[in-house]
Amino acid sequence: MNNGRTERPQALIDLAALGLDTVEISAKGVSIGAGVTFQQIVEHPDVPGYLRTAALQMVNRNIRNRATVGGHLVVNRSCADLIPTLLAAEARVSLVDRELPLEQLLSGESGLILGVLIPATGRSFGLCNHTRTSADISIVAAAASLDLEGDCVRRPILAVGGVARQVVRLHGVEQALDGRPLPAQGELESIIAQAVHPIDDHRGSAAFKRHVASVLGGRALLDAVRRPAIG
Amino acid sequence: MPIPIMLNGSPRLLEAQPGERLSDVLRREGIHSVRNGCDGEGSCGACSILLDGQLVNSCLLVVGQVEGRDIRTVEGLARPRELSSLQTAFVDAGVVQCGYCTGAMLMAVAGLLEKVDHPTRDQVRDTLSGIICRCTGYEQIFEAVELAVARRKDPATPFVMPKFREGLRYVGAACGKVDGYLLARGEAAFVEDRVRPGHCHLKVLASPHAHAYVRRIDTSKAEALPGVVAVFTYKNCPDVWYNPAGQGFPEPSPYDRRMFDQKLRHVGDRVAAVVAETLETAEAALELIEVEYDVLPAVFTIDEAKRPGAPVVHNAWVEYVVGAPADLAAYNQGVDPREGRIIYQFPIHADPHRNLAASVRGGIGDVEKGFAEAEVIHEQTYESAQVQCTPVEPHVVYSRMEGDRLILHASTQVPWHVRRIIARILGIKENRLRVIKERVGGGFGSKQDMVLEEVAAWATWVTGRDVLYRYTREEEFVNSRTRHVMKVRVKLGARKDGRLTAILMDLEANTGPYGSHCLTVPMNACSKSLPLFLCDNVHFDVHSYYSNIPPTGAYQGYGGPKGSFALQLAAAEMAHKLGMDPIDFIEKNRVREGAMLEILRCLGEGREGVPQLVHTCGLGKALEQGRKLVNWGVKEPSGDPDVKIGQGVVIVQQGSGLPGLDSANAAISMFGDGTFMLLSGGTDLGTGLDTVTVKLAAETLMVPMENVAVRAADTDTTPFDVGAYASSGTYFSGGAALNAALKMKKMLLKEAALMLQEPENHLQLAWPGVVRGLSGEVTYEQIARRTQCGTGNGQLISTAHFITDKGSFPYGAHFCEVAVDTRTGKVRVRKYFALQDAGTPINPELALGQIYGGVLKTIGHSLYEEMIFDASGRCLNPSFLDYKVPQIQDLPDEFKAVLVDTNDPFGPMGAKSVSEISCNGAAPCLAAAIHDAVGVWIRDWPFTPEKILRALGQLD
Repeated sequence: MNNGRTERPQALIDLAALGLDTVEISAKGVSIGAGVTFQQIVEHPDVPGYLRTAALQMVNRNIRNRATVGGHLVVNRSCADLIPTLLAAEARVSLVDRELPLEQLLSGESGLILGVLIPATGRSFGLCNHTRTSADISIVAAAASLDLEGDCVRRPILAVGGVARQVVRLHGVEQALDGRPLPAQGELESIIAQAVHPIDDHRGSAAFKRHVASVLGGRALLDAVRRPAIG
Repeated sequence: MPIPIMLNGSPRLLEAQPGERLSDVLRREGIHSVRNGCDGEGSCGACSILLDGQLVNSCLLVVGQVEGRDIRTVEGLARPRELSSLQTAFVDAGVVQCGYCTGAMLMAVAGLLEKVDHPTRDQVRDTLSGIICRCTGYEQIFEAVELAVARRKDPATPFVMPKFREGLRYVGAACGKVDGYLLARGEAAFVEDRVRPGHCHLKVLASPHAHAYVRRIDTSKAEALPGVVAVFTYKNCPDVWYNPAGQGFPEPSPYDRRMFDQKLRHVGDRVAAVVAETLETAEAALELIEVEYDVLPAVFTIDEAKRPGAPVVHNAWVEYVVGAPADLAAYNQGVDPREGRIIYQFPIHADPHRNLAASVRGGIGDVEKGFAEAEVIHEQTYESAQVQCTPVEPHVVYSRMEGDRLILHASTQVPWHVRRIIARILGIKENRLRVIKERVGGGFGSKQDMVLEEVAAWATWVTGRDVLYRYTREEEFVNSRTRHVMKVRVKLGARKDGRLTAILMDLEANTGPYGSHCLTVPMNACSKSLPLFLCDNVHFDVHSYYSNIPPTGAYQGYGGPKGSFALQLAAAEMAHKLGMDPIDFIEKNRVREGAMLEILRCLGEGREGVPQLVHTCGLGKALEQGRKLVNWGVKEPSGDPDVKIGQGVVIVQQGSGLPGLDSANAAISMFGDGTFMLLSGGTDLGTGLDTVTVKLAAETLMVPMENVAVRAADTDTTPFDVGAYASSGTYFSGGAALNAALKMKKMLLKEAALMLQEPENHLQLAWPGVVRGLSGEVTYEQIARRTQCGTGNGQLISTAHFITDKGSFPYGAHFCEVAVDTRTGKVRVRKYFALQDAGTPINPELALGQIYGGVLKTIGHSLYEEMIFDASGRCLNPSFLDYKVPQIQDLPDEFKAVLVDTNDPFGPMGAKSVSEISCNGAAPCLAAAIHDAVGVWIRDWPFTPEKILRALGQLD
């Protein structure tokens, strides 16, 4: 059954027996075990709505029933459904021997992942993605979080998938938007478009992906302001 | 290492090697319902099982992961033989078509119903979101789930659907599917279920180059590998040229290929084959074959192929069986022997040395005069990407010897063509060879060609071993069949009042490396689109070119969808130019009952065609009903300033088989208790054809359907039929079954007349299986016992055939409404209504399923699907992960198929064809709606967000 396009692994070790399959909610935030499936997140009555929405971006129910948060982080694909949102939430990852920000883990650190901690911040979230068909993996995805003080945006975070080898936070965009009202849609998109450098591939041209990233990034930020999901 | 599990409620020890996939182990344990459509990628869902109540892909589990856990499959649903209410609901609502994904679907819904008593539509969509079904179009599943919920409370809840013909018991009424029980139970029914222990595997070494000669090939290391049984290359295969297209002999498709050839014409083309004891050995042996290639420049597009001086795909030695041109000797001069041969059965106006595979032109009236009379001219070119048929069951064959006879268990649409072509290649008589068509897990045209059968047949014939040859999904993409790529220039002339004065269709097709259907598919693009408009001046020009893309061939609609896209979208553009409502423009020009279709005289598949009178046409009713359903002209705003709404309408047609070319046969024999066995040549691909033939026989013979058993499409035991293509099933194979039943009726009357001592004209058949006279009656059982006794006239066996010179055209109107996101280019189909005239729909619930399936597939072609290649001709997305077909979450928000009633004078009990026509509407209908929404015409399918954004000027 091996389709010849992937290497057959030498050994597989099932981590299910480690018992890392619980979601715990406290005043500090949400703690999700590495063995928690996407479907567990969807079905959990108390996880923040934006996390549920992000988990549902993995439309294929068969996969949602098996795919785990830990596996998702290890695979670390650019099309990852949950990673943009976790980055926007400033999630921390607990490894067997230490705890570190998710962004640091994704940039190349390794270790046995025990779980993810999503701090309760009360920030506003917005997220959206673009796929070819519904059950497709994301071609481009964006997630944003921010605090609002009056009209002013404070400490915005914008994470975008599909424009680099892995999901990236657009720190430059975040700095440019910090401390002022969100600019109009056109200007916002133009700021984002300049910050992403996707490549041409069979999932779309670089120009297309840059455009869509700018539109979705803008929408994620605007949604966070206009119709926020609160974390 | 035995692994304990609970399997369908019983403890079981699984014998498995560490690291084996659960799906493989379950199949070995006799769990046939665990299917494989994506080679363990997890993208098709055909292997879904319930693991501790959760739906999962068993291909993504290693067997050790399920130790001690509870596994349920469809084999556990029916106990002991009685179907569960869920299974009967699936069969009755018409959602069991080919059956290949049915086990997975049933387990998905079974799991849902354990958690939720009355699931919502969204919950049903979510639970089925990981399972690909290419046949049904999913829509009727919601109805099936409703029915299953009702039957849990009251198992007697009937499936309610209006009958189309009062006075008939079965024809025109929903009565289930004769193979529904088998398929809903997940029984062994497909080719892969026929394998025996000790069989060999066949694997093929694929060309890495789009165009090359084999300079040197050394198979000695592969042959020396333990477990390798045989290796085949161009050096030791039959030196026979053939065309694998399943068409009536003599075929219009050129004999331009050999089993293995020294020249390779596309990436994936066959270089060599290994037969080995295990799959792993076969794959390892492929690696040991040493090949050196002389790589040639390649051509991929129509424009590249027709350029003067372009690389030639078939610079071959050309022969004609009849009609050789006078200058043939000169044409063949200096041909390189490595280029092989081409044998034409008759001229198809080809010039292979200039990559021209076939051509044809014709028309009626005078188009120049027509254009001169026109007040408005519209001229545009319409193009399309390469799309693949993607049956969930890939191509597969199992071959074995039985004494001195070769037996093929095949997943084919054309068992008799396969027998004829293979007998010729192997140099054996047709009676040495038996082709058994098993249940087919989706064909859609790709299985109208002999795609891999001849290699396995040769391997078995030479080695004597059982051989399984099954394509991977990647091979299915690059080495089976795809829709012909076309570029169609349409020029229309019209008066200001909307009347068409001239139609010109200049069609170029890219037939790829071999000429399967190279003449007839592009020709059919004309013959299934042009006759929709009554215009005095029509001309068409068809050129079909060889190139180095993966093979093309037949795909549901057979050119019709491409011709229809071009002509219907051009008509929509013309209506827009004229400032007319598209429905008014269609009404002004459309075909009507009583019209004589003169254009068909020059569209006869390589010979003169026959003009046809349109006896019945449901277009008027379809347009009227569709206008109301879609609420034409009233577009509810999206509420989002970025999202614009548009509507579209098109008309469609197809044929019902090929009058004058096709033929079908059937036989009915009477058993000792008065029941019947129907032997049908017809090939049921999951379409319900076996149900059609049984219904026609039961209806005619006045017996319950269960009194007619059917065996079909087995070249040893059933009579000849050309196969399932050209929308011929109901009309031809059904017609043959009806004729056999009418003959049986005559035989019954004759025997009863002797028994009742009454003249035949006093007698009639009566329900349920008696012949009634004025003096009394005899039962069929009495007739059977009488005819089969020592003084009787012999068992009653009727045989009949069906041929005709009369055409029968199904018609339809498709309406849609789309929402286009102007910033991302994404199109959402809000509404889709397909109103089609199928004459008498013999299986109305299955006919609806055919429409839903055809429409959703073509929504896929229009919006999502395309094979993407790199510069060297390698396909970059040969998997369901990257080639996206629509799934249940992509259904239009509102989706309805409607059967418009007409009664055909020639089809069996008034029936016409239903499936292929459904594929002709989506592309032009969606394109017209996209224009209505955002003001741009996208003339190249698929209408991807990127193309729409470019047209809107949003991308640099």
